[in-house]
Order: sequence, then C-alpha cells, then structure tokens
Amino acid sequence: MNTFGFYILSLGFILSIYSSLLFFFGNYRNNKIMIKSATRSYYLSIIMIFISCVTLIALFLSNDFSNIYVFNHSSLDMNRALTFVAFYAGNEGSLLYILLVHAILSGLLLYFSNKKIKSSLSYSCGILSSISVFYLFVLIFFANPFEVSQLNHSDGKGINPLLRHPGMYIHPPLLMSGLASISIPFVISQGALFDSKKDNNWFGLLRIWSFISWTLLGAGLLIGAWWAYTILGWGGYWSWDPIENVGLMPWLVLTALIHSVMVEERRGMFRLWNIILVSLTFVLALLGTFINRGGPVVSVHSFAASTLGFLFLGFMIVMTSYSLFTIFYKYKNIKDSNNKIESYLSRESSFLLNNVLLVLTSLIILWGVLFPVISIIFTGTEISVSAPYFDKTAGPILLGIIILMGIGPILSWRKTTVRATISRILPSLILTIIFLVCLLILGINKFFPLISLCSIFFVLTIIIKEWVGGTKSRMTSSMNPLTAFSKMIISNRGRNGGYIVHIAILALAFGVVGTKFYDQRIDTNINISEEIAFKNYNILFENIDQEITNGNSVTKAKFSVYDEEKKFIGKIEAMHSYYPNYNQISVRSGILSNPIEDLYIIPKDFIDETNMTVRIAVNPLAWWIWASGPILLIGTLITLWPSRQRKDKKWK
Amino acid sequence: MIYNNLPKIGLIIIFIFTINSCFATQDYSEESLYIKLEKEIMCPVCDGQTLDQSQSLIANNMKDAIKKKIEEGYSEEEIKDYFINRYGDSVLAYPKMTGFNSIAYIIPIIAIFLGVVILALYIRRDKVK
Repeated sequence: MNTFGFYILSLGFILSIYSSLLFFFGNYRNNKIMIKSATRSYYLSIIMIFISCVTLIALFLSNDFSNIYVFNHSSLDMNRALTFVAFYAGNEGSLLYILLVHAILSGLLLYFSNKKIKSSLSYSCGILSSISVFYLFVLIFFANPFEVSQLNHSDGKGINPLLRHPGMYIHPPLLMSGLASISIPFVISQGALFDSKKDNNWFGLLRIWSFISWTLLGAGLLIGAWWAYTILGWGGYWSWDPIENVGLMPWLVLTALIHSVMVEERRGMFRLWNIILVSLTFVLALLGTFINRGGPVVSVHSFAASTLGFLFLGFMIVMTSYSLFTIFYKYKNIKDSNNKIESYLSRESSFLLNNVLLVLTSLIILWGVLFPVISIIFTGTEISVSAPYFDKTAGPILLGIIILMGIGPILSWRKTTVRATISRILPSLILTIIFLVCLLILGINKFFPLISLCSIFFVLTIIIKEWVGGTKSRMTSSMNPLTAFSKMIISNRGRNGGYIVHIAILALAFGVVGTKFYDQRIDTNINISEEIAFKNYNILFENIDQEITNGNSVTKAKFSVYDEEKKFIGKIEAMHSYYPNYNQISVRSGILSNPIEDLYIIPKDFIDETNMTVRIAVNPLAWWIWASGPILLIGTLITLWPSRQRKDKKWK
Repeated sequence: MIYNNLPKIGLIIIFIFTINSCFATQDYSEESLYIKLEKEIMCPVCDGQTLDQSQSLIANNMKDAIKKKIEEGYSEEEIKDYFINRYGDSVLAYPKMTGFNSIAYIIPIIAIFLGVVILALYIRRDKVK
C-alpha cells in the first residue's frame, strides 16, 4: 500500500507538470484543445492527490507501522477518532493536507469560473498547478509520507499529547486551509493582470475568494487561541509567538483587502492596489510556511519544524520576485474607472486609511518577528521580541482601527460634510461620554482600557443606531419589529453582514481588554478539603483522582466553587495527563466561565496524594473572545449567502 | 473653515495619542509588578515562552527569585538587570529602547507617520484632479 500511495503521488506530480505546461502554452497560443487537455489532467491530478490522502488514512487505520510516518504519529491504543488529527500531526502529512486543500479549492475555482471568465483563466490555472507541482515535488523528494522503514515495529510512538484536544480537529485544518486558500485570490489577481481584455469579472471573483480565505484563516486563528487557552495551561490565549504572528499578518492584510475590494465593487477604483494587497498576502502566507517549517526564529509551535525551510524560502523568493515582476510589467492591463477620491471625508478615504493602518500593523509585526535576526546580524547580541513589544507597537494601531470601524461605514461614498458626519455620530458621542463617566465612577481609571472600552462602546452604539433607524423606516403598522429587523438585515446583506462581523470584532476586543488589563492570579499550595478565598470565590479542594488509561496516567484534581455567601456555583476539574511514550505532561486547566469572568485553575504540581500547587486566575470577559466566533460565522454567512445575479455594474 | 480642517486635526490627534500611549507608564503595586515582570521576562530554556507561560523548573525558580527580590525592595529595573546579567539580553521579552535596539520602536513610528502622510498627499492629489 505504501508503494501504491507513492506511485499515485508521483502520477499526480507528472499530471500537474503536464497540465501546468499545457495551461501556460495553451493560453499563450490561445489553443482550446490544449487548455481542455490541461484542465482534464488537472482534475485527474486532484483525484490522485485525493487518493493518496485516502491511502495515508487507510495506512493509519490498518496500523501499518512499517510506514515511518504512521509509526511516528500513531499507536495501537490511539483512539481511532484521532486518525484525522494524526494525519496532519507531522511535517509530511500536513504538507499533504495543504496540498489537498489547495487542490480541492482550485478544482472549485476551475469548475465554477469556467463560464464566467473567458480569457486568461487558463493562465491562473497554470499558476495553480505550478503551486501543486511545487508541493508534490517537496512531498516526493523531501518529505515522503509513504516512506517505509526497514525495521519491524509492532506499535507506534503515538500521537503528540498536545494534539489530543477537540480544538485540534478544527484549528490546524482551518488555519492550514486558510493559508493554502490564499493562493486562489492570488492566481485570480494574476489572471486579471494578464487579461488583455480587461474583464471586470475578475474582481467579483476576487471579492468572494478573499472573503473565504479571510474567514478560514480568522476562524483558524480564533480556535487556535481557544485551544491554547484550554490546554496549554498558562491562562492566556495569544502569546505573539512567531507562528501565531505569521498567521495573523496575512489575515490583517486580507482584512484590508476585503475592504478595498468593496470600493472596487462600488466605484471601480483601487484595482491595482487590490492586486498588490493580494500579492502581499500571498507572500506573507508563504513566509509563514517557511518560518513554520524550519525558519530562523524560535517558537513554541515546533512540531512541524523540519529541514525543509530552505525549499520554502526558495519558493517564497521565487514567488515574490514573480509577483513583483508581473505587477511591474502588466499593470497597464488594470484600468480603474474614471472615479476619483473626492474628499478626505468619504467612505473611500476611510477605507484607504484602514488599508494603510492594517498593512502597516502587519508589517510592524513582521518587523518584530524578524528583529531578533536583525539584531544578531548587526550587533551580535541575541534578544527576544515577545508580547510586551507587540502590545506596545501593534496594540495602539489596532485600537485606532477599531475607532475607524465606527466612523468609516457611516461616511457616505464620494463625499460628505463634517457637519453631516458629526450630526450622524452625535448621539453615539454623547452616549459614549456618559459611558466614560460611568466607567470612571466604577473605578476604571487606566488610560488604555478606558479608551478601548469607550471606542468599543462608541462603535457598537453607531451600529445599533443604524439598525434601529433601518428597522423603523421599514416598520409599517402591521409588522412586528422582529420581522422588520430581519427584512432590514436581508435587504442589504453585504452591509449588515459586515456590521455583524464588526460586532464580532468588538466582542473580541472587549474580551482582550478584560483579560489583558484586569487579570488576577495567585500561586498557592493547597491541601485536600482546604478552602481558599480568592476575590469573591471560595474554592474548596475536594479530592485527587488518579487513573491509568492505555498506559497513560491521568491525575485529576476536583474543586467545588462557592461564592461569598457559600452558595454553590459549580465544579472545576483540572488535570495532568502523563504520556510515558512522549515523556510529556499535558495540562488541562479547569475553567468555570461566564460572560463576566472566567475562574481558571491551572494545576501546577501534584506534590502527593493530598497536596498540590495551583495557580488560580480570574480572567475577566474572556467569554466574549470565544463568543465572537459564532457571531463572526453568522456575519460571514449572511454576507456570502449567494444572492441573485448582480446586474451589470454602474458606478455611482 | 474649522469644520473643513477637523479631519486633519483628528488625524493628528490620533497620531499623537498613538505615540503617547506607546510610552505611557504607570506605577505598580508589588502584586502587579510581579505579574508584569512575569510577562516581561523570558524563560531562558523554553522556546519563545515568557515566565508566566512556562512551568519549567528554571522558570519557577526565577519566579520565586522575582518574588523575593520584590519583597526585598528591589526596583523593576534592578530586577531586570539582575536577570540580564545572569542570562544575557535575550532574557528580556522585548528589545530595550536604548542603543541599536531602539530602531525596533523607531521604525514603526516612522512607518505609521509616513503612511498617513503619504495617504493624505495621495488623496489630495487625487482630489485636485
């Protein structure tokens, strides 16, 4: 079966090479037959990639430990449900997974866009299959998942304990899909560059696909944070680790992109800028892959580290120079409509400012990620650049973007007057000032959280005001407010979906402010049936439970939580699982969560049967960070839900 | 007249505020000083983790040392210097704002400034046409 998998993979490799050559050549010659043949062989190569993935899963399921990859990432006692996780737990498998996502998405693009876009789609597909060729090349020559070991193993090493968590079913696949999917908007922009007929449908495609990438990547990052919060056992969720940063950077640029494509849609402007943004996102995503797989910076995400860094570095350099080259030589094919920016105070200007700030944030993060390397080169001293740096540099700009989020959407297109704008935001401003006074009375007096909370509140009131106004104007005497509201939402899906996504971001920011500035913690030693009072909680340490399952020992500490009046609130279970095969302890923190604050217990050391050390923390508002996920999803669905075919665009 | 200049003034205020908040400092009680130091000092043996993220033996020893030093009345700077002398500059979780490493902070500020100025000039040029 191993040889079979390898041959299938090689077949996919040959088919991809064939199809990419034929796509390019057919596009050059404008030869329909060649393109057809290329398309078919590309579909075939997708099938080959799919079959090899199935083969690898079959190897896992049949416990074929002669396969080195299976041996390293699986064992007889592994829960079969984890096979899917084990599949991408290592370098080879995750590459195969990325390739699979790339193949499926490009298949979708090819299938659905064939009718819409007549010219130079085959050029885009040529690039897509070239990217496949690269991944297949790496898989076949450097990271073969079907490599067979000469030794006979009766059992495997087992899966990395850190990966045994429900978040692992979604976090890595979503994140990798997000990063892989960026190549689709990238090739779309390339198609637009090479389209001598200047077909504007490219930008419609770009809008949809960049939004899809944005959602995938954003969800992947959020679930990753959730995983870190519940399993890594340090009470935080985002540590500005280099690998987190390289996921965040393309997401920020994509955020800029999904805004500036809206300007393109309405006014036919910023086309070349959009293309530059896509290319930047793509390069940043490749940089992420490079840093992830053996880059020059230290990170906690070392499980996929390998010696393949140089390959990805090379690929990144090639693609960067390629996209610079194409933009430089083909930008004349991109023509904006005759619209111009008419005022500083207009939707276009505010989107441009948003773009500049987002791209700069992303570049500043990149600067921080690379700074240790720069410091070593120039001064020879090793330094660390971690959370405190990014909080100081990226934090304030992100706050500025949130404020902009309130003002931008209510500015009208083309131009508006200061007077009109102020009268539109005046109610919110007044409410915000009242809110500020309330906060001050409540004793919140730190500068940064104060500003952040006020900004969040300000933006929220503006959105609510817009919605209330919209609902009122739709409401007739016979209609109840709820139907009027939903009608209003549906009437302008793009705009209102966008508002909902903005609310998700506000919820996220709200949670970040709470956990960042108001977290409290104690480290303490605790005996069984001892009670500890912390803030307004009384925490009773009930017992320690030890059990051995599948050779791994799990030690659970159980706590009962009471409030100040000794009323029972809930139970908390925190545990250590020890995995002898890995000689590794995985910590699962116990969390009692509500929208106001999380009580968070990290088990540190189990001293003996009756005594342990714990860290007890209170993380205010952490709940809102996770609440933003579903809100984000709803907003995205409302925005992306296919509407009736748009009529030919007329720019207002 | 003043109405037309408001957006520019707004931008300038946001910019000043951004820079200002980068350097805003506050007084810290013993408890919050401990939490702050825990987040600003790296664990020297763990890959890219600060003390508060790490449960390794050395990290826990360092946390105890921080607690003790705070109780003994050492200042934030003295405690940081103590660890830098023992473990080198990389024990600090951020680049210092002095010497070569101040570039780490200067470049972002210049970038934001240039970005906003170029944007304003661009919009102005576009407007005139």
